[in-house]
Amino acid sequence: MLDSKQTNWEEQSALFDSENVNVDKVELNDELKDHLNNWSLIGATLRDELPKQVNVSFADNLMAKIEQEKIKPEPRKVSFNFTFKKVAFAVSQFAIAASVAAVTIIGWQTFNADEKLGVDSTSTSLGSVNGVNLASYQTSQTQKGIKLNQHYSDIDSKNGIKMDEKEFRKQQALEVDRINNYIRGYVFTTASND
Amino acid sequence: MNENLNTQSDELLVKKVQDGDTNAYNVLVIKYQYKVAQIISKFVANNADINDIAQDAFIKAYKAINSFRGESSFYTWLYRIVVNAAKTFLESNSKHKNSIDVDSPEFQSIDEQGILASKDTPDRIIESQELHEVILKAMNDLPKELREAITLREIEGMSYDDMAIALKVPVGTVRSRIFRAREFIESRMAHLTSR
Repeated sequence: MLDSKQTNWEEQSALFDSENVNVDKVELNDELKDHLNNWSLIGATLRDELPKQVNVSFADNLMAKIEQEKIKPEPRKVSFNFTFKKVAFAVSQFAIAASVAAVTIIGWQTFNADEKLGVDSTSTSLGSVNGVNLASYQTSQTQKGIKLNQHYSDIDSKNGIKMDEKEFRKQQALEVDRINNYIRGYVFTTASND
Repeated sequence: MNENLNTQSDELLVKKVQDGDTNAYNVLVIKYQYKVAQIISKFVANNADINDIAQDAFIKAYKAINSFRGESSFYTWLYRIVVNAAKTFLESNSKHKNSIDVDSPEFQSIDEQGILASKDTPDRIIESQELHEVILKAMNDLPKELREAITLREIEGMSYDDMAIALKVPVGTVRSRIFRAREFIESRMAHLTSR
C-alpha cells in the first residue's frame, strides 16, 4: 500500500511529465528540486542530450543569482512600427488578392461570353477602346495570358465602328499592353506599401 | 510527440512565470539546462564558458519572458536566445583575445582578510560518461515493465494515456511504473549527484 509521501512523489513525477498540470502555484523545496534534477538527468542521458561534463548545481546557482541581483522580467513592449507594418502588409495582400480575383472574374466572363457581344457589353467599370473592349478578350490557358477573341467579325457594328484586321491587331496589342501595365502598376503600387 | 507534450506543459509554466511565479521558471531551467548546455558545447569546448553562456542565455530569457507569445514552442524560442548568446560570446572573445583587464571582477576576489575568495557557489561537475554507464546499468537491472514504461516516456515521448492503451493497463499503473523506474535509477546514481 502506498504511503502518502510516495503518492506525493508520484504526483510530482506526473507533473514533471506535464500529466498533472492543474496546479495554481508550483511548490518547490530542496528535496523536490533534487528529484526534478535527477529525473531531468535520466531523461537527458537516455536521449543522449548531455554535454561531456554536467554541472548539476547549475539551476540552483542560476536562480540564486536571479534572486541576489533582483533580476526581473521586463514589461512587454508594443512596437507601433511593427503593428503598422503588419496591418499594411495585410491590406496590400488583400489588394493583390482582389486584383487577381477581378482579372479572373473578367477572364471567366469573357470565356463564357456569348459569341455575339456588343461593344457596350463590357463591364462599365472598364469601358472600351475604339470598339474593342475586355469582353472581346478571352483567357488563354495555353498562352497564359489574355488574348483577343478571334471572332472579331462578330463585334457589334451598331455604332458604326468597324476596323480592318491590321487596325484590329494594332488595337489588340495596345489593349493587352494597357491591361498588363494596369495590373503591373496596381500590384506593385500596393505591394510597395509594405 | 515529446515536443507536443512539453509544449503544453511549457506554455503553462511560462504563463505562471509571466504571472510572477519564479518557481515555475526554476522548473523550466531544470528541464532544459542539459539541452542548452549541449547546444552551447557545439560552439565552445571549455566547460566554464559553457556554464557562463548558459547562465547568460537563461537570464536573457527570464528578462524577455513577457515577450514570449506562444507563436513557437518555448524551447524553439529559448534555442534562438541560446544560439545568439553563444555567438555574442564568440565575437566578444575573439576581439578581447589578447587583452587582460586587471580591474575586472575576476581579479577582485580578495576578501576583507586579504584572502583569495571564491565569489560563486562551487559547481558540482560530473562526467556524463560515468553517469551514462550508471544509468544504462540501472536500466538493464530494472524489471521489464518498469524499463518499458520509462523508455516509452523518456525516449518515445508517449503520453500516459497513449501508454495505457499500448500497454493495456490503467493510467494510474503507468504513472506508478514511471515513478518507480525513476526512483530505482535515482538510487543507483545517488553517489554521483547527491549534495
